[in-house]
Amino acid sequence: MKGPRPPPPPVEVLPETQATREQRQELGEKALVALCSVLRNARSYSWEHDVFAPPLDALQQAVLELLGTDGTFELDLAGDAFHVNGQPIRVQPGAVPLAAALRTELRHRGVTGIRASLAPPKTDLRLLLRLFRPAPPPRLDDRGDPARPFKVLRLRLGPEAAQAGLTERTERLAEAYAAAAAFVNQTIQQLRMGAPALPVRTAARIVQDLVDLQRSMPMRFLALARVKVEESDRYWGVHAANVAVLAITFGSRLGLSKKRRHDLGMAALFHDVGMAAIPKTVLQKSGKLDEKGLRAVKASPLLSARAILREGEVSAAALERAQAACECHLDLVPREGPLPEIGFSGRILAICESFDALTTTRPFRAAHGLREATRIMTSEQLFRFDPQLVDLFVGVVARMLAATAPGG
Amino acid sequence: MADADAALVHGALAGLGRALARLSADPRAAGQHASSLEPALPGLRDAVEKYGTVTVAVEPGALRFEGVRVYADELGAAGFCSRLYRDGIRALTFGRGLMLPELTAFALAAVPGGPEGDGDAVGELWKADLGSIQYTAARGDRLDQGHPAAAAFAQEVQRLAARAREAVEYVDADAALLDRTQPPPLWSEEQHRKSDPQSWSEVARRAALTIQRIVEEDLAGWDLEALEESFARLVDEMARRTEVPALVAALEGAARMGGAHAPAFRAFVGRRLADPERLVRAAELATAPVKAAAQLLPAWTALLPVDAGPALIAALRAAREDVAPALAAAAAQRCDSCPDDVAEVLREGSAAAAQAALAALPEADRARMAVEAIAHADDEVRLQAVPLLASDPALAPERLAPLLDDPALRARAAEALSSCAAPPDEAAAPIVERLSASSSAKLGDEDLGALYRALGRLGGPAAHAFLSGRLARPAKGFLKRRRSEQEQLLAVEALAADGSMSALRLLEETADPKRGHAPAVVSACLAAVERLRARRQVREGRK
Repeated sequence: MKGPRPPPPPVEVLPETQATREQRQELGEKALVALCSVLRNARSYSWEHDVFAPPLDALQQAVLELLGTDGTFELDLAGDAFHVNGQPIRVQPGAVPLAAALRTELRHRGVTGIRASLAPPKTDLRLLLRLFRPAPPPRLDDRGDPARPFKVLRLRLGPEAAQAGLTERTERLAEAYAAAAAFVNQTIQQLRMGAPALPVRTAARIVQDLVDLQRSMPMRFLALARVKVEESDRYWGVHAANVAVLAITFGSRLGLSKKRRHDLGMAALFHDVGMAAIPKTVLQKSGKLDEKGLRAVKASPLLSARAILREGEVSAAALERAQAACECHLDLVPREGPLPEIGFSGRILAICESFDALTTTRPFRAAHGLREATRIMTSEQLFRFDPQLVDLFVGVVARMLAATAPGG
Repeated sequence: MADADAALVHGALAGLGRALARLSADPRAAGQHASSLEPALPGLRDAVEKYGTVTVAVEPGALRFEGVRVYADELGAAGFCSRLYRDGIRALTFGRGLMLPELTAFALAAVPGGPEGDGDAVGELWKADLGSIQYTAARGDRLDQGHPAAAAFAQEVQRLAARAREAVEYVDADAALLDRTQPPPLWSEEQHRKSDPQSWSEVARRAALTIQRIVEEDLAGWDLEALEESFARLVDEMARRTEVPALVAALEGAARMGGAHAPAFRAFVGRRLADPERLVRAAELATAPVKAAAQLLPAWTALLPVDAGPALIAALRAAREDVAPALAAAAAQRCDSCPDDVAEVLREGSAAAAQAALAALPEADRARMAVEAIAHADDEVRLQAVPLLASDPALAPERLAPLLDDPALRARAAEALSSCAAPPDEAAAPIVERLSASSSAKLGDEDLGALYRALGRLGGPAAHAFLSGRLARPAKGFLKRRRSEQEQLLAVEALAADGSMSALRLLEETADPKRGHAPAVVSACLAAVERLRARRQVREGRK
């Protein structure tokens, strides 16, 4: 059931520290000043004139640096203020009239924002300049003048643009998550049929999106781990995507590099593909498994590793993916036998995997609540996990996830 | 853009293109990337300084700037432009602040076949997270339309996206506010290093053992061949990266591996390991300054097939002297596949290699091949070869007889004859002949003792006859007395070693003072008789 939806924040704000706020202010102001300068000359010179070269350079540089820092450039007109990447930008008193003029011009054209997720080429900036000519194009869409569209830059049009931007990002989030889950489900399907597996690079791109999105909207990203499906056929994909969400979030909180978070995400997506080799009747059985079924389930980690290792990739990421799939199901302190070797990814995945499994209804038991799941993980199942990591996970990620529940 | 300005940009991009093309030609030489790229950096920096950013379109085999082709890749489809384009990169943008480390990181990701070049260029550039080099890429998170699962995948995405949207929309305002703050990381750099060492060697070693477990537990199914190939690639990569301990662990694991498919797995891996180039690399790695290096060649060669002899010999010829013994031993174990080469090693190889080869010769080939080692210049090698000649009882007397004339080998040859499985009289004949020859007077005490001991151990009528003759009829003459007495004493010892009834009787007779033998001989006979009787009593008592 949907609860009363809270009013969305006007502009999505990126994670930051004081240093990045100051840097964003500086770059945002630089971009605004450059745009103002362009505007000032737009009525006097041809849009191809060299007089625009310095401000366009400055604008491009600012955009590039913001892309480098935040991964995106979003200039929004919210009320009377300009926001850059969600942060209100102060302008020097001397530039206030020009900023006001810029605001008026943008409103006049129905533009409420300019954004770029990649470095805009010079040609795009020249085309942006064209919009400020005395005779602007009769019609604009998100790529500017439809007759000469931007390659990279995008416009937000109309009063709902800010909200639309947020919706669009939420949409991207949902799509990336869905692509991750669908990839795993489809992979399992292909493996069951003995058909060629899906290209790993597709998964790599999906996980790149997930890592980028986690950085820009961590709470909404983490909320994706709440997705559950009733259809048993879809369970493994959604489970893997949830584990990826949890692992990427956990990795981010630990301060892991972008590459390592990607490795974790990839390992999460592939950690249960071995289930393809287990008959559906075993996976969907609600009662106790017979000996054959138990043996098959116990073999699943090795079967997952097999599905990864058969591709013949020997990069560290691929090997770690295989090992994590195998090791995340091992007990850190087994009841008998020697201590197993479990790598870092395996330790992280073991925690995220168990957490998602415990909070999901399975054919053989109902879902546990978040609190109950964390209690089980830190008490009766503690022998399975790295105690330091599980404490951090419960203290940070599980708590954050609880905060994403309707009503907090 | 003025002509001069255009030339500046064109020159910079062409310079970069040429530098990257040079790296494409030798992508694995990562250490040289920086020096190759350095000349391209100033031009690129100048262009970027002048224009703020320089965006270049990537095409298959070319770079284009503002519609003008500024660089054509001579390597065509094998070049970096094609790789970038194939992987989805459509434009590259160079911004201010470009430094050599960033350019090098870019090259590592962009060059095909480079250390990072096996993966997807977009992925590698994304991971490299380069501040001053941005890229525009085609969307890659969907399956190509041509993929058989594309339609099902797209439908599944749509269905699941609806669920995901609901979950995200539920996030309330307070929680969304948390999106604005990013608390400091929980771990310090030190903790990262400690908990997540990111060692390729470690994960590769564990992955190799995982493959072995999959095969051992009969879970490989129709992927057995693919897993064999993966294991072989892992081994290749370990060798390339000089990860000797991991390599040893992987190879020893393969040798230990059980299960129904283990022999087939080992056979596949063995064939790969027998590749001459790989063997040469293994020989190089065996000299690495790590403890595990000593175990590498034994572990490696243990998996080689029986016909790997020629490859081993080739590696042996190129190898350093300290690793030659291991290769020689492995070749000797497979001497059926390269008998002439092994023979050469036994004749002319270094002493250590020849000795290792001798020790490793299969039982069936020992006698045949050890003959070659008799011609070796080193006495230690020859001495080691002598007992091996005795392993073929039919040929042992014939092959060992000439060695009784060789002062260096005489004692060992006599010993070998005494222990060979040939009929005692046949084995004793060359010893008797040597002792009966006039030149036997020149034999040293040690050799003489060895020859008599050999006869004693052999027993048999011929040995017995000779010993009894020497005991009963010593040579006469003042000058020969000492020698005769010495030979009598040796004969006593030999007969005592013989231990037969006839030997006992002969000793009893000789011990009789009436026979007129020297007191030392009489005493020795009495002692021997006593010893033999005691031994017999013990034996009979037991019965």
